[in-house]
Amino acid sequence: MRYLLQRLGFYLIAGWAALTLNFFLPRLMPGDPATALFARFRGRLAPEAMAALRETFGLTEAPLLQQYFTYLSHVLRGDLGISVAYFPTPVSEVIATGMLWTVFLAGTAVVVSFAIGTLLGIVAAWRRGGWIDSWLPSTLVFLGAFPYFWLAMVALYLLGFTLGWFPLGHAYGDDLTPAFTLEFMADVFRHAALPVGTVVIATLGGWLLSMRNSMITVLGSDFVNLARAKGLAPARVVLRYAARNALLPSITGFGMALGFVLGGSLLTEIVFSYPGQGYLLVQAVRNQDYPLMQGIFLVITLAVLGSNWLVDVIYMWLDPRTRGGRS
Amino acid sequence: MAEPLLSIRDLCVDYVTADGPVRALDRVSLDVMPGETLGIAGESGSGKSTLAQALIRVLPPPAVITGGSVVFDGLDVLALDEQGLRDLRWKRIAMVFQSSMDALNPVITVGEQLTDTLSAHGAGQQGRERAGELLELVGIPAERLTAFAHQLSGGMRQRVGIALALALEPSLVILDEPTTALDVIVERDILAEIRNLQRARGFAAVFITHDIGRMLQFSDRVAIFYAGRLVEVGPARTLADEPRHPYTRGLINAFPSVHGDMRKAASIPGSPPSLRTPPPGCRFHPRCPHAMEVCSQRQPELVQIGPRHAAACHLLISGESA
Repeated sequence: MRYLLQRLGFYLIAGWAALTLNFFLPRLMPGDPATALFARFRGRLAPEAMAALRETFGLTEAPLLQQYFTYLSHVLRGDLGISVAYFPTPVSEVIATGMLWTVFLAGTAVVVSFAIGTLLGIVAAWRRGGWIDSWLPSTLVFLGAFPYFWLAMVALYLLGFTLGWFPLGHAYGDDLTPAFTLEFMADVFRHAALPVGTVVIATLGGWLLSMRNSMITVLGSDFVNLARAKGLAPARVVLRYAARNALLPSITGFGMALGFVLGGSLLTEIVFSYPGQGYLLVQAVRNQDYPLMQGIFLVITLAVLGSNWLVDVIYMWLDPRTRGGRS
Repeated sequence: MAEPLLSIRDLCVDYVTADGPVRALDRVSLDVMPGETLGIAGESGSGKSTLAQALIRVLPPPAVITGGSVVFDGLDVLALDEQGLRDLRWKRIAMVFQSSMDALNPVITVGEQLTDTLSAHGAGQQGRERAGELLELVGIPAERLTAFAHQLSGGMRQRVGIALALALEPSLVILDEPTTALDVIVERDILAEIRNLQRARGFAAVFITHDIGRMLQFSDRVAIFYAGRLVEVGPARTLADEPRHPYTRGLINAFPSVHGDMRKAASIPGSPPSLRTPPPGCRFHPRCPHAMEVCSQRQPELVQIGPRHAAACHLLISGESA
């Protein structure tokens, strides 16, 4: 428990460092969002409006340090400013909707890919040299070697456009209003199938290989041999003795993948016009929407830190050696 | 004489490699009587552990049993199917691994590793209680059942390994270098523990080590291996007093004796041969101080030279005293 609190303390400090960088970096860059917004109206705004805008974006003449503390207190209250691209919606609201879709889409993809890949890795190592082991890893690595957006576009073209099995984009049909109805949920899953499927196919090989290789090492260890010698059922030897230990290195990879869920699904969301975080980020860059960009970067950073901490927790649960102390 | 508990005849084990098979055990024949302790000694790579693992057929993949027979209590071990093997393993032949540091699963408790053994053989009802008794048997308090391997000292881990081996009251326990990773004090305690348990429960033991001094103290009979072959076998006392094979003599001289006469420890010159390209004839002849012409031409067979004492050396065959 003390270990977890220590880690938590470390992540809080890292989070604070990220917040600080997030504040100072944009202020070191030339230009500011108010000027950018002002420019978009091509002189149709009065100079007083410009001053008001600057005020809105927190670009006061106050000393930098004072701005910094104002920023910190706003962030802690969940106030990330106002979006330029979606003016005048607050950034936190814009991110909240995008994040929901991204977490659903990329989160599902990572979890499904990890679960299937790991299971296949266990089977491949157990039946080493069998048919799964002989051709599945190479096939999946081959598929994963394609640039992801190309794979996604081919899938979209063949399965979505030519065959019409899947919708071509968006998170749900335009004729539906979001509600917790069976119809709406089914539609959401239908829209998510292709993006999730392509991500799973592209990343499955990595999970399979890492689990397979770590399984093979563990299967050769003394304690697995002892488990076999004890006359335990093969399923127990493979799962409780071998896989349970072989899983540990994969968990680290899983945690990192989870952390990048919020930032890394850019290509998926662009190809499938999915209204998630990555799509928002592109909009933000296009519109020079600094507050939104800053907000998204912040969320990505926090997500990486959060999932690292989650991995620490999972690790402690899975590996008693990290718990420290004597029982 | 009583029927042997375990009878090994002409056992061969090959490691299948890309460059062809490498023979790790070459036509080994040995008997183990009920309740007796048979010591197996030899240098690293002489085939000791391979033999141990072959007996319960847990040889790691590239190793394959290529010939011979292993009969345990009337049961043809090499002919057993998967189910038959699971019944044989642990209930009748159990094993203490070289280093319990690596032989215990690091992520589940010691208690679970004891209880899963019990329940795999239909003794699950008494489960935890019995597991606690087993720990107490080897001198560990029962509340350590909830401990993980990394929370125990090396000696305690090895004790857990012994408790595991005794869980189902097997009639044969294979001890594969059970004390190699331990310091001498702990080693002595553990060996004394094993001896007491053996006296109380009457199981037979195959004791594998490269520490010949320990082995001569601890075993009733001793078998000496060299480069995958059995070179000499006989009662421990006989071997200690009058070893007949030059290799056995070399081994015994290499260890200074704590008791008895002062004598100089002498090492055997050279190193064991590669099993990939073993020397022709007697495998020991390139290092043997008594090598003759015939030694590099023909492989010596085991010859009986006394009651239950046999050695494979041309010196003995040609009638000369070694």
